[in-house]
Amino acid sequence: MTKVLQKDQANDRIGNVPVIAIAGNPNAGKTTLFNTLTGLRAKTSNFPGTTIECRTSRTKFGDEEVELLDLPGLYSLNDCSDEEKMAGDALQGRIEGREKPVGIILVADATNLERNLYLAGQILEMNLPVVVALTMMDLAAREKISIDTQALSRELGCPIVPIDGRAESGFKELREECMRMLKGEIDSTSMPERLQHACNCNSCPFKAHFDWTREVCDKHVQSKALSQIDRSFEIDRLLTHPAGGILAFATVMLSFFFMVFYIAQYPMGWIDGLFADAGSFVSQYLPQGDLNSLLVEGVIGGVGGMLIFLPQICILFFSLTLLEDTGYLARAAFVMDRLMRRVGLPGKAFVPMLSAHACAIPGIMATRGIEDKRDRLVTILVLPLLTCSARIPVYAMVCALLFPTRPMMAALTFTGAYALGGIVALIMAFVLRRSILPGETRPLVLELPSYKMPSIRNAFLMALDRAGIFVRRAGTVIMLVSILLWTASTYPKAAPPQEILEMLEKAKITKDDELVQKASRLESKHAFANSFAGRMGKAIEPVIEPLGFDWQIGVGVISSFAAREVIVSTLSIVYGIGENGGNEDSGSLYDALRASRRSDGSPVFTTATCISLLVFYVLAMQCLPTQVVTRRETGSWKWAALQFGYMTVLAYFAALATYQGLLLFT
Amino acid sequence: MLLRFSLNSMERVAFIIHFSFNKFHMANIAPAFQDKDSAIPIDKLEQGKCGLVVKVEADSDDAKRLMAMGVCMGRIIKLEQLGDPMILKVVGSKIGVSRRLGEKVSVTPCDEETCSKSGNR
Repeated sequence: MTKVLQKDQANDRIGNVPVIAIAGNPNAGKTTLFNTLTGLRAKTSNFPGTTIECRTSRTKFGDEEVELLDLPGLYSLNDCSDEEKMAGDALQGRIEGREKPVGIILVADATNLERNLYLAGQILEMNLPVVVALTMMDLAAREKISIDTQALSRELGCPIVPIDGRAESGFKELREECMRMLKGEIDSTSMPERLQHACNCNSCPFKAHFDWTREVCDKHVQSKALSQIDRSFEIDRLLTHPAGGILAFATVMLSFFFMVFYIAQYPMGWIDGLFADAGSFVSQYLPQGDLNSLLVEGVIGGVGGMLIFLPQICILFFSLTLLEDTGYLARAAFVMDRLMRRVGLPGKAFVPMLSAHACAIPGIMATRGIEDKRDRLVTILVLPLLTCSARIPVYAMVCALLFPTRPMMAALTFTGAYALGGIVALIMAFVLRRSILPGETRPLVLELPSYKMPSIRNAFLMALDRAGIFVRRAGTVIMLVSILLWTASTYPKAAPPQEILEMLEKAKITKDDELVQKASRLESKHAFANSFAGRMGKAIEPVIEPLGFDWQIGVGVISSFAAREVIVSTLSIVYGIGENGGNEDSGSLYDALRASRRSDGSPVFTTATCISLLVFYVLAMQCLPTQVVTRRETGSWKWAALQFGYMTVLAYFAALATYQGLLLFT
Repeated sequence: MLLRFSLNSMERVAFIIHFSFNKFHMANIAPAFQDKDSAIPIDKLEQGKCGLVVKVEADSDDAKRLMAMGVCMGRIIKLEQLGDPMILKVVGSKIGVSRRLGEKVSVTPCDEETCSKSGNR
């Protein structure tokens, strides 16, 4: 895997385009700067063999083409996190397939120069040409902080360009300095003399560097007014308060959920319509037969069923980036740390847990913000227990079956299913922490950046980037799985039994449409029972019988291994109401399901079976794309297998207990 | 409760021993803070007060993360908000820190004037 990645990245650079790296503290305006310099062309990739992301993009400074490399946000280059290690390696050209940068753009926040200069000091020691981009100059001006940039430039021995992100001023000068850097006009061996002395004495290196930054700031920075942090004091009091903070968090998250689910339903409807149109278009212009069915049901149906979640993912990352830019997300992590640490999850895990309510895949991708490997593993392992959007059609189906005329009870059941997922996720985190991944969570060290206006542009680019990753990664897998599934439920073909053929003949003669439909339903049901999928359903029937499932539900369970929402359409096929039953005429699906009988004449979907099915779907790991992403993010199939194993066992026994328990009471 | 008190006094003894061993070193770092008995873990500082960091003893990676953000020897830190996690203010930025890590940072309290001069107001 690592090798493939490396090869990919080696192919990224065609010829010898010089690389300029962008480094800076988190929240220093690095991403905004990178986006302004490059626009839409940025590409996100991982450092070889890691999940640490870096973004690269080609751009032109004057006539010369350059590759800009956006490093992860850093406080220092002390090797105390993987990010720092990778960034240090990248800057020194120690990463295979990556060129050593010809220079560095160091992004420093003008409103907090003293802290930002710490990293600057370490980067200046690397003896590479450096240009300092002093961001947030507008905020600094508002706070009456004045910086003598010329004197500072002399002190640091490198050019300094003040940048005003809002007015987009300073970028022309920055480009000019970069051009000079490419021509080799910026001296690289200009480590500040004072810093040199600081490194020579053998006291604490942190102290020496911070003494230096203090000294530099005392000389060149004048701050006349109270800093902005004081204005946010009262807001912070509330947002980080043990009780008030949680209340604020709940409010923010409620509106967040509302955004993701409410607004997304419109584009989701459009996408659904688009794929339905594409399906009927293809089925019209292709002759009836296997190819037609493969394209319409397998490819278009399968890919469409996944792409329908794209709007949710876009809106999720858009609003998440906005929230992060304002500085609120750090407060939320701070407040949540207090609660989540009790079950062994770090506070930072709440972002992934939130994202996983739309889809586990972006959730798992978002765990990259968690520094500690074991903290991250626990989070990844429990994330698929949270109710993702793919479970919603299943919940909706079961609730409608159980309470067709009592919407209040249906809503409560729905909420209960959500809560069950969340609670079991927390319990499992607790259990995992005390078994295979022991140890305390890493103590929280988290900067609470000052509040800022978020940038719509950054949020938009982020949403676009994540959408691209989602479509590429999961799209290819889902397509393959859909085709496999289609094959399993189509082959081997069986000739319809005599009675169905007779029925068809009769229907044709009498031109009875209802009878034609009934006959074709029976035909597809028969074909299904004989396919691989149908046989597998029958094979597992003894295992699932104690859960209250018959073989047809078994087929549904098997077919929804790859994507759980598939069970709705599978059940509509198995219980013989035609393939479109799940979408257009859901009333008839529920009627048919309610009317279905076992061989002994008792109804299949009793209350106990329904609730058992619901519990099973809340807890079972039925999403192949998630498994693939888990493997990618943990670097081993072992964790994906463990995730699958524990969730399946959990789902089985929970459903068993539910069904048998309910039988006792009814 | 009793256990907690005894722990605290144990800690104090440990600090006193520690600082008498490091007399020379201490004098080097902060000549203005000679009162070696007054070093306390940062969570024992009053909310809103500042202290000069004299020692950070924690697991190397966590300590490094903390130090890279400015919580290192010789810096003046303000305890912005008590609790777990607590909020510290150092070199102009706020940092949320778990109490069990914060406990490992020992400071000598400093007066209002030094505090406001440090840029942590």
